[in-house]
Amino acid sequence: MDPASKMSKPSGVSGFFSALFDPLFSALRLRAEVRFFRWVDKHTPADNRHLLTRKKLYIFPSWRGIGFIGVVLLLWLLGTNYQNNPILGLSFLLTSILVVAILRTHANLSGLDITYVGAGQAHAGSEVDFHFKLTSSSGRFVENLEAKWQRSEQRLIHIDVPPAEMVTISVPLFAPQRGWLKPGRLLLESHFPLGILRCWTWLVWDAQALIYPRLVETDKPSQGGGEGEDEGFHPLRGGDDFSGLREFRAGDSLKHIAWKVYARERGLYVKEFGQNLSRELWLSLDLLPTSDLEEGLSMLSYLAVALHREDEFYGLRLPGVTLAPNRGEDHKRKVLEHLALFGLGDSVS
Amino acid sequence: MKRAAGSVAGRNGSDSTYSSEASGGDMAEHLAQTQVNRSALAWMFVAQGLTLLPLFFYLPKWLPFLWAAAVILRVQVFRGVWGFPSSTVKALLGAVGVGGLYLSFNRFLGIEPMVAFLVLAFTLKLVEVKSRNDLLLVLYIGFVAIAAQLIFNQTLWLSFYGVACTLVLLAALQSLFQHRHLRWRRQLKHSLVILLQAIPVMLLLFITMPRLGQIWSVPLIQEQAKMGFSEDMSPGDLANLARNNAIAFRVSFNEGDIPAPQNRYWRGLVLDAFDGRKWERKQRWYPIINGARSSSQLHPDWRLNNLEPEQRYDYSVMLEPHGYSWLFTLMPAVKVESQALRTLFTNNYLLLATERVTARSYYKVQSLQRYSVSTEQLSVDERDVQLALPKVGNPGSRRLVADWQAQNLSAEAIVNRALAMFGDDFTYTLQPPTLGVDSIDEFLFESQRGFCEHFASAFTFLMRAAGIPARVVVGYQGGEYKTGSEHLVVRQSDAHAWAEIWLEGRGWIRVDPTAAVAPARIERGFSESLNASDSDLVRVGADAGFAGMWVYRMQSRIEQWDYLWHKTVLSWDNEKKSQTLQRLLGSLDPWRTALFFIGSLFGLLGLYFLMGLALRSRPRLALETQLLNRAKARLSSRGFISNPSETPRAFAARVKSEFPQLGTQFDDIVSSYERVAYRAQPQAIALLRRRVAKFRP
Repeated sequence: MDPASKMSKPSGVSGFFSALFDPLFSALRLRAEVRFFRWVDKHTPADNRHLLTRKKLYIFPSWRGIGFIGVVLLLWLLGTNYQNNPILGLSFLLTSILVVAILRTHANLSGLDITYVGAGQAHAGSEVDFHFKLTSSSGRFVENLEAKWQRSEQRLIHIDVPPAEMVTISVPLFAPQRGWLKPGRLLLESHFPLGILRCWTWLVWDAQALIYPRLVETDKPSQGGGEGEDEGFHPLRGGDDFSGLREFRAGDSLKHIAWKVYARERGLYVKEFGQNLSRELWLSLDLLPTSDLEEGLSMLSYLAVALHREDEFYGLRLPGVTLAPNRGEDHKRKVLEHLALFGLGDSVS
Repeated sequence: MKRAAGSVAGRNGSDSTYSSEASGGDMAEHLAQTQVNRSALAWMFVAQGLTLLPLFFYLPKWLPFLWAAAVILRVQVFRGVWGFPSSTVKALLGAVGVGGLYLSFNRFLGIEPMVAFLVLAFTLKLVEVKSRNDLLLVLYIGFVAIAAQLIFNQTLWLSFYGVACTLVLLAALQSLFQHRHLRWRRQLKHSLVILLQAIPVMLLLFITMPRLGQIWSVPLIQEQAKMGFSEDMSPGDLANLARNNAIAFRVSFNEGDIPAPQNRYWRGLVLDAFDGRKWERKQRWYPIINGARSSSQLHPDWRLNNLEPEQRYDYSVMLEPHGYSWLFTLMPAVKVESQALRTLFTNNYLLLATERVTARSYYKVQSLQRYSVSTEQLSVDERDVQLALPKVGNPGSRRLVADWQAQNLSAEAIVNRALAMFGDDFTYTLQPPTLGVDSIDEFLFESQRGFCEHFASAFTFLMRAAGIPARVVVGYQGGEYKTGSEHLVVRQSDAHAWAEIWLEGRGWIRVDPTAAVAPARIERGFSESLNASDSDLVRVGADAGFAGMWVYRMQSRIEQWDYLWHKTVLSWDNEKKSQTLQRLLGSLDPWRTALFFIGSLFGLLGLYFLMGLALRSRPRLALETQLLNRAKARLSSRGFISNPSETPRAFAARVKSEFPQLGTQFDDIVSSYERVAYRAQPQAIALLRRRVAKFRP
């Protein structure tokens, strides 16, 4: 992904110069960026609705625009050297087009109304969508926008907002870890109409997405000791439904050995199968074949999702948190929210 | 398709049944190159074809075929029939192209090979256009190609064509950066708005920007088709030109007098060597240019310190490129100024450019109204040159002259005898019979019909035979005065040949034997002087009937615009800039110019901004909604105002509860509205329109 990594190492004189100047330039650039974003943050406070006005929009020639300026200069040179007024006129015409394009590019974004709608659900290690509603309050057709989070490489392109219509966009952001994810600054930019200018804005949102723990596959814990036995239904052995694990005893069928658990060197267990139509399972850290908290939470999330998919009753028992067994979408969300925020100091809203 | 207000279009257009144009975007990786879509490709072909078309006329004839082949190749690649050519194929194509250029030109320097190379690169780039940036490069080369057109030809029409090409290039550029697909007309309209907004700013730049001189010297056009008469004169040469209605040059008189029609002799070339049939120059060009004087100072021969306006003709000549180095002036030019040309005076008082004239050129001349030259004795060498005749041939003419000399006539009397002879028996015609070996004898004693070159040639021969130094001068005579734009138009058909003779005590004087035969030719111009059968040959002006008249008028109007274009735009320089700014601003202070520039620029941009605001205040509603609103507005005059939350149907019910008849009518309107808006029956719009028109509460 990183273009710099693909380039071969420069050699010779240019290598010497780039070795000399590159750190200097990148340091200068970093400084400028830090100052710029400090300024941006001061002028556009976080909000969940932004109307793009002059104050929030920045405009500058794009790389293509710099090429265009090069063409203008070339034509000017040709016209001057040939003492040819029509060619000079053409170069002046292109200059004026550049000037008019400033207005047009700015007008394309100006008056766009963006409202934060909400964030999607996601587990750590995947992308979460942030949803926005776009309307054009200027009565103009807002053409070909691009949107991306500052921290993301993923770019949403080809956004068109007709006048008097509302368009919903979903801008994805990679979620590295569980807990509340603040998306940072949203870049919204447009090169319309001629591509020679880039008009953009950095918007800070009063938004956050709850990121559930990463999903780590695990086997369902056996409902061995603890309160689970008192509250849940006892499984009838010999059925088809997987009900849990128990320690290997001599005489157990080799077919029922939980090889995956064995492979993790956690001991020899046997899968038990039951037949009850509704059972309750307790999700708890101490039933898991791990002692790492994050891994445990990830496994519990996996189990919660798996059990939800099987439409089972399950409860959550974490230090300080107990959710009675239940099932359904809402219950899953609650369970995952507790898992996401466990130990982070934030409370579930 | 219905565009409902407030509809929500989902991501990737999943809910796009509501809207044809809304788009919630597509995902792209960081470095993803946007692929070229069909309409952008089509725009590129059109834009490239248009920009290349005028260039093809100046370049080798195989280049258009190469371009067509490249288009076909690219279309086939787009259709998936062929793959992109491999780099070997591309290198081969490039090598073949460059080799072809070398074969066509035999050189790489010079403007034509360079433009041809640009066109070749432009064409071959087409083959490998893959991404948006490639396409952008092609379009940028397109702008340079327009400049190349303008190097070859700067007429008004081609300049307009260049603007049209710019428009199409803009449309192509815009289609690259627009996601929704527009019909070509709308796309052009959008670009036209940008172009129209840019033009006032361009004019501002054009007026205020200072012009610099050439920064470095550049190759000029070398292959210019030759126009007008050539370096020598045989019988029939000028008669061929008489059919050519093209403009040779235009003259505008800056101040002071305009010469009378019979004095408008534009000297171009002096021919002083005769071989029995053909007149040509005695000297090669090189010694002529070597012995010439710079024309930027007053000519020293005239011993002038300054020129009073009443002593001189002060005029500017706009010369069409003719591919030769001679320039046209009234005798005698004493001072010439030109920006584009370096000009010299020869010892014959002709004006020469150091380079051949390959582009429209502009020069300012001062000529004396009255003059006499070489009143003292001619040098022996020059006398020999101006009296030289072939040793043999044309015995009849020599006998005639011997006859006159035997009568002991003075030189003036001999001249008058010759002119009287022409005036009595000779006919001025465009269709002279062809002449044999002793061309002068045959003309004088047998055919007695001829065009100006016959008369000039025979007259000069007679004078030389009589011992009077004489020479032939070729140039143009006359010119049509355009009263609207106050300038003279001199055409190729005005090409003329006359004689200059040297008389003791009077120096070189002009004698035009044609004037003795056909005075109308000199006084009223070429087309007036022709008889009916000759007129049919040249077909100019009123003789050609109503349609011909119309064509003639149209042509003359177009020529006038072209002239104005040249005078105002092409010859715009710092001097004109200063004059204009002086007139506009009152003085030339730099701060005034700067203020004018900045004020106008921001004024214009402010105006565009306000226009944008005015546009935003009224979003366009769908036609059916407009019609429904009209009906509602009529109801409001009866006191019915619909609530925003009320559906049209509910509103109709409310009206019906009070005025059943009115309500029923309105209900019908609503039902046809619903058919258009919600049931996808666009044909119901006609019914809706009729019902609303009839609805008069």
